Amino acid sequence: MVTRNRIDFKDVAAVAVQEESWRRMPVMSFCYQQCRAQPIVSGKTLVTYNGHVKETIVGLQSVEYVHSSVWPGEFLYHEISQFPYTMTVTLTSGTYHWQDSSDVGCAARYLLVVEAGQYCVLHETMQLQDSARNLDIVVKKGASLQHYAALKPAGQMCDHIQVWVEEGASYQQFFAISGQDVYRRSQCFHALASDSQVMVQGMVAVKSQGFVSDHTLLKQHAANTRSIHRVNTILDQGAKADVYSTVDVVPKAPKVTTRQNIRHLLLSEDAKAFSKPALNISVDDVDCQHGAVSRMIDDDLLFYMNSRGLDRQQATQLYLEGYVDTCFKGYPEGDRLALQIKKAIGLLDE
Amino acid sequence: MIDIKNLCVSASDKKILQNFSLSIPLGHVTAIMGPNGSGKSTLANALAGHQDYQVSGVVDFKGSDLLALEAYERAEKGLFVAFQNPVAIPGVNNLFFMKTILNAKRKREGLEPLDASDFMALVEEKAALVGLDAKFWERSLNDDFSGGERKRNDILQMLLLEPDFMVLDETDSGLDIDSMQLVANAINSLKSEQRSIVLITHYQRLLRYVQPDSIHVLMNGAIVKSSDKSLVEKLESEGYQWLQEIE
Repeated sequence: MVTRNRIDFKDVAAVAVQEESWRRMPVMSFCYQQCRAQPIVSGKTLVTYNGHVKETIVGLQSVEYVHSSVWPGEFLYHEISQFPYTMTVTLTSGTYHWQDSSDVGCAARYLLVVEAGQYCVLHETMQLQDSARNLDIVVKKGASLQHYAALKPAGQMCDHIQVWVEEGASYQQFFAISGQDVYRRSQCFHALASDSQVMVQGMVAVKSQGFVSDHTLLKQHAANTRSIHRVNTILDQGAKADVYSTVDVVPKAPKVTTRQNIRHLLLSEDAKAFSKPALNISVDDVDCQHGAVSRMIDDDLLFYMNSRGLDRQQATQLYLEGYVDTCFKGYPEGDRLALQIKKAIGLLDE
Repeated sequence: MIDIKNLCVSASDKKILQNFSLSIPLGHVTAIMGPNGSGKSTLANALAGHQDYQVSGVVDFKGSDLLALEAYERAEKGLFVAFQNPVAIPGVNNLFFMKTILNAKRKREGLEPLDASDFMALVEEKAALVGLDAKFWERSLNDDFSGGERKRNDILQMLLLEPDFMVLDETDSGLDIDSMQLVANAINSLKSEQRSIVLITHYQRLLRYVQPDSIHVLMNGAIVKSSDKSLVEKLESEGYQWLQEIE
């Protein structure tokens, strides 16, 4: 067993959440332990627990059974990237269900590869606690991955996601994040070649002094690439969210399109939101739009609904239902994510 | 039906209505006219319970002190205000909103909620009266509606709720001639001995279709002239200047 920089993560996170340093791009360091886990093969699901494969599915290839126990301290990506993947999965056309959970203090490094020309749908349910995770995804030439991510982190969680999208390939992520603890996510998407596209869209619902720090970098390396990043948050009961979104268009990458939108909805006076949408454009002839807004529910909207006989609570619930549905409207599996958010904000029973 | 005594309304410390008094009996159609800025819309919003207005005075509505009630309680009591500028609420489905407010009313009345097919039959019947159709059902409430469509959507809600006391704030503005006729017919369909209607308007044209029992002219926050419908034509031809001179 190799041990480096072992730090009590809870203490670090508790202090760090109060500090400005948490508003920088997260990084990770960790300790590393390697062992083997016995896989269980069944049905059409992939179950990972404490960073190792617990169950796998028929149709998956190249599964490597390595268990890594990672102790997160600072989130230094360049260090985690030095360690081997705990799970490597190659996806061919089909629909996959992945459940990822852990005990306190574990983390892992996953690699998903979508083979060229394949069309995959991945339903991910993540319920990690006090852990760190690194998920790398490669979408090869002409392939497509629809990634529905239902994220329910608990305790102090760090998540690092990196996605490479090759020529003519498409990666779409629809996410729902709900919780009342601390979740830091750092995502980096690379549209590597012409006609590659990345869409990241979803909603964050936090309450009870919870904190979500979501950092996203969309890097467009080539001409004719497209990216969309839309984040909606609902913050209640002293919750706080930082959302950073940066689109980086490199030189010699004209005719790119990007849309970027961050919307915070504050349900209580003590909720806090911070947005930083940024466009780093190094070339002319691009079509880029970005915007951000933080607000509470407009009193005039509530008044209109009140004037039709709905009390404030009914009107607020109706408004929130619409707000959530709008975020996921039009996507085949969006209802499941909308359901998660509605439960998190109390519109539906858990 | 409603008895307003010495109603004073201000917004941001600016006095808008001053000692406004008016009684509207059951079954009456009352028109309130007046120049821009005279306080007509303020009256409608104050009666509806808009949070931006400070109010004093007494408004007796069906035996209750209206000003002591929350906005939703006023609606529950049977007050409906069709607003001059109905707000858009992105994300809230128009049809679902109408079903929610209708079933909330039915619940208060001890009735079972309408199921989907009964509700659709009802809404299609009422919508035909105001010239709205299925293409408005999947849209968000008043979102991307034209001004006239918003007004008609408000009237559709009114037709569904069948309130006892209706205040229509410049519902005629923004309506084309055909829509005006439809809306007027819809309003007339709700006229009854048990209901009262207040039409706030600038123009004679709506009052040609919906005959008022009395007309009041509001200027500078107070009623300066009350008469029967013959007053409309004088206002249409001579404007409000002569009333200012009298005042």
